[in-house]
Amino acid sequence: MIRRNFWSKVILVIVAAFYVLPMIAMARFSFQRVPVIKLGWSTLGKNWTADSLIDAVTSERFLQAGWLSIRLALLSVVLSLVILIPTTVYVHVMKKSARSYVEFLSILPYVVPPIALVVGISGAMKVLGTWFLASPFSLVPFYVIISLPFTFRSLDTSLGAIDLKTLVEASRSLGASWMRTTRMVILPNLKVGIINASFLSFATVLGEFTIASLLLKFTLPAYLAESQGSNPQGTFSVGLLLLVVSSLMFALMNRLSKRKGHALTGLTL
Amino acid sequence: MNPQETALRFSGVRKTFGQVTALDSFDLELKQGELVTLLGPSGCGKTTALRIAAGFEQPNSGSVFVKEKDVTALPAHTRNMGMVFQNYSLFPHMSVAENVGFGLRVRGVDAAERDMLVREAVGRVQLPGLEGRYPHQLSGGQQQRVALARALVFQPEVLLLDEPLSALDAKVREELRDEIRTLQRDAGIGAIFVTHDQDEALNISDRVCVMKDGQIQQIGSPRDIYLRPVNGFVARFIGAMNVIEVQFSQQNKPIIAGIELDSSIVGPVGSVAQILVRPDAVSLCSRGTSGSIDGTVVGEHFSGATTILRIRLDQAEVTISAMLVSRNVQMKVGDGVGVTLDPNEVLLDSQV
Amino acid sequence: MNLTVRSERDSLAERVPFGVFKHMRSWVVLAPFTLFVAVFLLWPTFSVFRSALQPVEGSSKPAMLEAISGQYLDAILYSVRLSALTAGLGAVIGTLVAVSAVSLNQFKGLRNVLVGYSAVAANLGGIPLAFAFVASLGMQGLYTKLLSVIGINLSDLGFKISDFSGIVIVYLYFQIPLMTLVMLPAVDGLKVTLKEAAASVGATPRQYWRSIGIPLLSPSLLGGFLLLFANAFSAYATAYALSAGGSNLVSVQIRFYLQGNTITGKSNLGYALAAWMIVVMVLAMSGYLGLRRRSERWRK
Repeated sequence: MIRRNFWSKVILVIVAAFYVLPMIAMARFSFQRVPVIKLGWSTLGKNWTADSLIDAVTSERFLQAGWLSIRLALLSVVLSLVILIPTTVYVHVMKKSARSYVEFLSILPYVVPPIALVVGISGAMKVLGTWFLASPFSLVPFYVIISLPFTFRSLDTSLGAIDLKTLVEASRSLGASWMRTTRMVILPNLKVGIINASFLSFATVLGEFTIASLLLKFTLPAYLAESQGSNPQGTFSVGLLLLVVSSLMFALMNRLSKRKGHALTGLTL
Repeated sequence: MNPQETALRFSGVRKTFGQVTALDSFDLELKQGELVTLLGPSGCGKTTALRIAAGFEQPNSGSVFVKEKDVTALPAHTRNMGMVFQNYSLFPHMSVAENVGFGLRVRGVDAAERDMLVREAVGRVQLPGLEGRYPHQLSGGQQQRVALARALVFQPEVLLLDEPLSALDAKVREELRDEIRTLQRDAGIGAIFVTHDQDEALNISDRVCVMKDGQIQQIGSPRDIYLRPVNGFVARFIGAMNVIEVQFSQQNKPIIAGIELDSSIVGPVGSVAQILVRPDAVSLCSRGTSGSIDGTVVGEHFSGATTILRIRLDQAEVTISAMLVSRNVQMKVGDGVGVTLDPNEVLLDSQV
Repeated sequence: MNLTVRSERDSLAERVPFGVFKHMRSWVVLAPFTLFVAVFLLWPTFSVFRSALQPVEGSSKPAMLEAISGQYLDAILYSVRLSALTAGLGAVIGTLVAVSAVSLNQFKGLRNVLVGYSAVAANLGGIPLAFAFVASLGMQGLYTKLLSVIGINLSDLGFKISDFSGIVIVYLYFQIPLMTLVMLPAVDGLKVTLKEAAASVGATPRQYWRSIGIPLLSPSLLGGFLLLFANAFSAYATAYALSAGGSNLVSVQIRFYLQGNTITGKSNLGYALAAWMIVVMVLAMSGYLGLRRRSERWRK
């Protein structure tokens, strides 16, 4: 038993190190103006500066890409919620038998990798004419699609946590109007799911590269790929920033949902 | 198996978990073919005792003997005991037959014989034909039966049951309770049964061991435990008790509402104490009968065969419950009655 | 009595519809969602297969068959090897992590931290992750330098972050936490009482693992492997960034075929590779879901 505990701790420490070390290396590269060759005990503390990060985030290209990414992320979140909230509420409150159908559709995106999807898009959308794909906002529906598995799962779990159908019926039979029932019974239970779905979606869109790159849209990840050569330190520092922001979003989402007793396993499939 | 032989013996067993003493000088002897129930509230140590017998916990001191062989240091899987758990603990990926036959398989019994023994065991627990089913396809009661078959098929030395009925519905619980008793008797095997439900304990046991805070309060037959509890805890834990405050008279006898009780209980003149008496030891007669205490019926609780009448004594601040056979009840709420207590059935309360 | 209650409920359900949903059939309500998925997922997918089944210029075979021969097959096999290796390693290590966490369950909060962290790490990937590893183990990497100080020269050993072995290490970064998330509930499901039940009928610890522990874990183990395989197989951005577009992986190659070969008319090959990717994903994901269903049934 004690021996087992020892090895367990060893494993966890090694894995934890595996997770932290690359981030440390990334941070060091971004914020220390000392090339690796010259790195030694004497130079370890020298030349730490956030200049490269500041330069990068104030650059024209970054602002352009960042602004586009944020707008795309927000629009994707909104569109996801607009399509999914009525659908999930409907299958939970009114027609539970349709839930498996919706669930099935929601996991279909898993079998179409983004790279395969994007080649299909170029082929299919040609029919529509080039106007559609020309706009960067054409990414939005596809982003909704790729986040579909987790956004549906988030809403579905939060609605499924209690027997919503019975609660709605109780509310209605007590005389509450539909508006009231929605406000006081349905929405509170949806809140956690909406928060989760939004965070997941937002973080996913911020980091999505495949589709954006092949459709030649200039999003944050595309910026990263582009400026890698011209400003390595700055680009890496932006990459680190992106990682930190995504991690914080996921962590925050986890904390929030746990407090509401919404035990997500973290596994979105 | 010789019925007089000792199947299992606890000798001075003591177990602590950190600061908590779960069991303290626990001594108990289980005879072959006997069913002893460990009964008590949560935390009394009954489950700890069972787990020590099974080998899942090691005592801090003391020993466990199986047929006079010291097994205290032996690992659980060598003790040859059958065990039934509260949550069935059937292997979910195995069929009923595979579950039941698993103990035989690890003992090297060949397939043909295993088949036969499994079929027999499954039949004995009233589940013939279900050998191919899986646990998730069975009801709670059926699963527990499979667990019983699994525990008994390899003819263990002792049968251990850890609150086997607690997870079942009331109706199923009763059926299975009787079946467990029958199976245990037929197999002639010694069994230790852990429960917090005193009805179960009184119903199926040869002897009951009442426990509290790691210590044995009383060991005896169900009758003894019920009729002759040795202290206030046992008296209160088993069945219902009337608690009545009394004062001792010049003759050192207890007085209730002016009536002196001619029982064997004595106490210092003038001092106050509490006495305990079972509702079924309370009789009713007409108001004013000599020797009876006057009172008024203030409540009636009908339970089918028996009825409990709540009677407020006129001259004392106490309400007594009397249990009567429903057919014989003639009083209604509001009637005046005379209450008499069977003096042989009155106990002096002693809090443990 | 029952019937009355039932029909009351039904009529409530009938009267229920909210404003605009009144009198609508379910397929009408579900139409927007269905339509959305059809247009933006099914139609492009269909288009992929349509192009994939057409012959490449200069040949009579449908592109999909062409794609699994010769040099194109190399790319597919390369991806399969990479996915299988990262899935295998990720499965083993992820399971070890899950088992370690469960056996240390007296440290309350450890489990939550692990789940929270794994949930984050499993979703990290793409370009920033590639950057992090370039900064660690690339030519100018911090740990490359550290290792050379203690005498291990990575480039002498032929290791490059953009090669197969480099990509494997980077992929493990998100494969391990993914497996951990799959295995934690599975290891939990091996309740202590099962071990005790096995001991009570006489099974030694080895017999327990062989007949009960491993069989109960194997659907999750296998399912997790399939999930990790699918995850690695469909990844694009990380490998692209590490290899600067030159990797031999299917996902990266698809881009090459489509952007480079539109002129030569071999673009159907790109579609064919994409189509095969989808086929592999369908197989892997159905396997995963089926196995997961079975293990959940047991965990009831």
